[in-house]
Amino acid sequence: MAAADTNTPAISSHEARVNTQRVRRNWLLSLPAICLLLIGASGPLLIVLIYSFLEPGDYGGVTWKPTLDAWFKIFFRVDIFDETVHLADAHLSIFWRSVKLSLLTTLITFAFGFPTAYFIATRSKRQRAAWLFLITIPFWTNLLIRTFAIMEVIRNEGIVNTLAIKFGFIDTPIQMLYTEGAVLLGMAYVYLPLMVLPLYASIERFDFRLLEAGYDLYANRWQVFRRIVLPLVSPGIVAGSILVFVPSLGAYVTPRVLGGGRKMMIGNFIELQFGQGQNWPLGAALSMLLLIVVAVALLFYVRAISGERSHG
Amino acid sequence: MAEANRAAKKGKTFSVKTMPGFTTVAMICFIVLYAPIVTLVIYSFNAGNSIAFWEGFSIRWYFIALENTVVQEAALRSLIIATAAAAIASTVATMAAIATTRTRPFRGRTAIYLMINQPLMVPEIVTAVALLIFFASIKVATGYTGLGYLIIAHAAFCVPFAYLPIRARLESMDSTLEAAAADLYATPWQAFRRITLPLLAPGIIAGAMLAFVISLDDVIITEFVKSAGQDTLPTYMLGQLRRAITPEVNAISTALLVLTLVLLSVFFVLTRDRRANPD
Amino acid sequence: MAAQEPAIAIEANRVSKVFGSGQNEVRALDDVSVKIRQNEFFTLLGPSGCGKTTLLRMVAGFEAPTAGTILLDGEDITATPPNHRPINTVFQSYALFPHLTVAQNVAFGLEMLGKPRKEISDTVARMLAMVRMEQLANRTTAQISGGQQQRVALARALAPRPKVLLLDEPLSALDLKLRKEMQIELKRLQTETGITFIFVTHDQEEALTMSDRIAVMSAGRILQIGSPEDIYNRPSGRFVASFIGESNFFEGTVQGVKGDTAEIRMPSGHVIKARLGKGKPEGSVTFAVRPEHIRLEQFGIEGTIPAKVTRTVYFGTDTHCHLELDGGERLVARLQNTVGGNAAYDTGMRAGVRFDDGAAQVLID
Repeated sequence: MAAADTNTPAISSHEARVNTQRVRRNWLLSLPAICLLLIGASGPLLIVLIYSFLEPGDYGGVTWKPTLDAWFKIFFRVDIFDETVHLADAHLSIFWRSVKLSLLTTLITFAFGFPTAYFIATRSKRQRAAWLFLITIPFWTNLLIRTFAIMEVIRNEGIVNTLAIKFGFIDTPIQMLYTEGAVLLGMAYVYLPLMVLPLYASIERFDFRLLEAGYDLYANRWQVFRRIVLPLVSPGIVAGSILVFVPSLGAYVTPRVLGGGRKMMIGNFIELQFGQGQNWPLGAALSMLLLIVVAVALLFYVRAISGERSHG
Repeated sequence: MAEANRAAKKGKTFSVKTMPGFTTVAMICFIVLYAPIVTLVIYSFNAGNSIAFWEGFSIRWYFIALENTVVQEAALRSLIIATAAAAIASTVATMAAIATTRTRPFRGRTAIYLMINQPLMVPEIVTAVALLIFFASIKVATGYTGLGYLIIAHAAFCVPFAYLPIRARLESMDSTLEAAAADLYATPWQAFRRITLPLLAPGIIAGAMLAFVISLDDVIITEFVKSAGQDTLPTYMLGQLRRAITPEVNAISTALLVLTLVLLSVFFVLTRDRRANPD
Repeated sequence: MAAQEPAIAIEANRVSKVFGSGQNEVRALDDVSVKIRQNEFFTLLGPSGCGKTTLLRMVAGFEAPTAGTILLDGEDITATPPNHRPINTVFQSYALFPHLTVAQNVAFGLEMLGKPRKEISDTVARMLAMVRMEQLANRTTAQISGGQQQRVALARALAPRPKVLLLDEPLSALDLKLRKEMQIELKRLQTETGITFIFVTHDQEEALTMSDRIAVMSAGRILQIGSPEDIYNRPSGRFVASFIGESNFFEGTVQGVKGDTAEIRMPSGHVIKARLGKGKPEGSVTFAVRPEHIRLEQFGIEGTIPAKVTRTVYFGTDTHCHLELDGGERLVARLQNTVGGNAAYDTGMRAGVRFDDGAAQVLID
């Protein structure tokens, strides 16, 4: 068993024994959680990694032959007739849509989320809790239900089209569902609380006396916002952006419900490989790719969080 | 300057915190956030078959949903899975929280943190795919196709949600209490059983509730892991969305919403910081 | 400019401020009028909650008066937002921007005013030199000490060359030694720059050592405005007399008035001479005597009031001698300690008390 880290050379044998016991106890207590997570979450990721280097089976599954084919196929396709290598346009357009929609989602949630978080943070202590609760309810509410709620509002027979026709703005319903716009709207809607909460945490810690200093030194509202508020709450902005960007990139339910089969994102494309596509290794490789991108984003997140701490 | 003129009203204090337009945008946000949900709830009481045309108030869709045996089974399944997952997750999370909180740093503590929070970091679709592959091979090997897979999967991704409130509660607890108990001749187990556990209970219940809500809401992992005929309420609803939608889905959604809301309210009461509410 | 009537920088004209309403109504300022001259070091002195900070924030533009006007150089600025007032503030918390360096903090106001880059860098360098911070120009504000932050806050507020500099208890966060240093430094800066300083403090010593004039405030009103000597030696009322320095208070009856001196009979029958403030008091009055203006002599000497020493407390530079007059009044006399100490008076001894000429001041309350 590993002894506790220590720089003190003259550690008494009794103290060392107590330390070892403590570490052993902590590990034992953590063991059930670790086992559960190894079986139900982390461990299987390793299998995905292995599968991404195998050949696809005929009807799903894999054949145990090592190959880089799946990784290659993510970006390229080989022409069946002349065997020339081309970029896999269909795949790339899905990636592009995923990244584009995720970035736009982040932007939209920021544009709406910042004023909202600022509004909450500048209320009285008592009011703040109530407004925050209003943000948290949708956050914990079933994502499918929220997506479904958006779907009902924007479908052809939905309330928006019905009202617009009733009041004579349009004659025929506007097709909003199953478009990229619908997916974007849905993701912005479901992930908005993920932007507001970290922004709020950051703004709430902001020392508003600095604004007085700004105005005292001739800054106008925009300059105070741009030069004092934004730089000082930037860790919260980074945190919120990543908290929205990461699940947007891996979104599955929202594009499936609001984009139909047509406006696929990476998540749906991965699922396709395990369903109709019958190409498990490609699906596995895509999953790993997504995981890598998310891991990089999370590294930025950790840095933003620690930046936040050093400011306080 | 326009700004100077605007502030020129006598007796009006220059508001340092105000940013123009922010309150308006915030109000729009709150309205947009709730309008679709409210619409959804309203149409669950529609007497007609449509979710667009209002044909009068009725609660018949709730009865239709209740009498639908598929819905009944899915609801029961959802509750079984959520209860089991919440119980397992909060138990292991409590143990892990005790091990990782209020103790001097030890080698591997960061690794345990990472492990516990891993479900929050990995995209759900990736975990879903991983579990699909893993459990598929176990299903083939053992022939067992029961709810166990779903319960394990749900329990696993519920662990971080159960862990957070328990840990928060532990951290806010006076660490000298156990020392005081030990000073009064309590064995470590007695100190835990008589002092730590009762004080920790609200945190554990809060954690279990959060886990329950999270499990109840899950779609993706359930969709990938479930065997044939193992629909939960959310996956049943997802399947329904492909067909013509009737207010039955609204009724089920509303019921789930209410359940979530009740659990969340209890959660907030349990975890409320009493210092923030002096009266 | 002819100098018979000093030019006025800031004028508060019948200013009131009410916070809250109904039962929670708090009257922070109650019909306050004050004229602050150009180039003077003016101090608002009073206990916390007396309204001094509210008045300062009104001049800065962060509070609007419920009634009354604020004038800068004779111009009504009551409705001018703070960023349009050529007035800068040194905040109690300093409010230095934590994401900017020392130099960037000092440059901020100049940048907002749209000054050319060259001018900004020159001014910043000059300001940092003035507060002796040039070496730390590129540090962040978290990397410097409290005293240094104080200097940066000063340089930042002075850099745009405001017409008036407001200082909101800027020394309260510093330790005693640093505070004394900064008192001298502030006075030097004020003289060097010639800018009107309005200084808010609850510390009477700070007020006395730095100010040209002091306004003593209590419960939303200004009780007395005057030079430090005026305030100390000729307090207008009991509050001023006890808030600034220490005082012994006595009751007596006016027997006669000659010029600005009154003869007052004390309960013990002794008659003393006391200076009058404004007005002609009659009947029973209160007068104050500073502990250091009391002399002790041997018991029974002609013209002294007989007293008994009840306690002596040694204070290093002086000894506080607690006495009880035969009339029953209690007082404290402060006796300068000499090389030999002050062993002459001990508990239980009899002594004769004599007030220095002009030591007694009739209070108007």
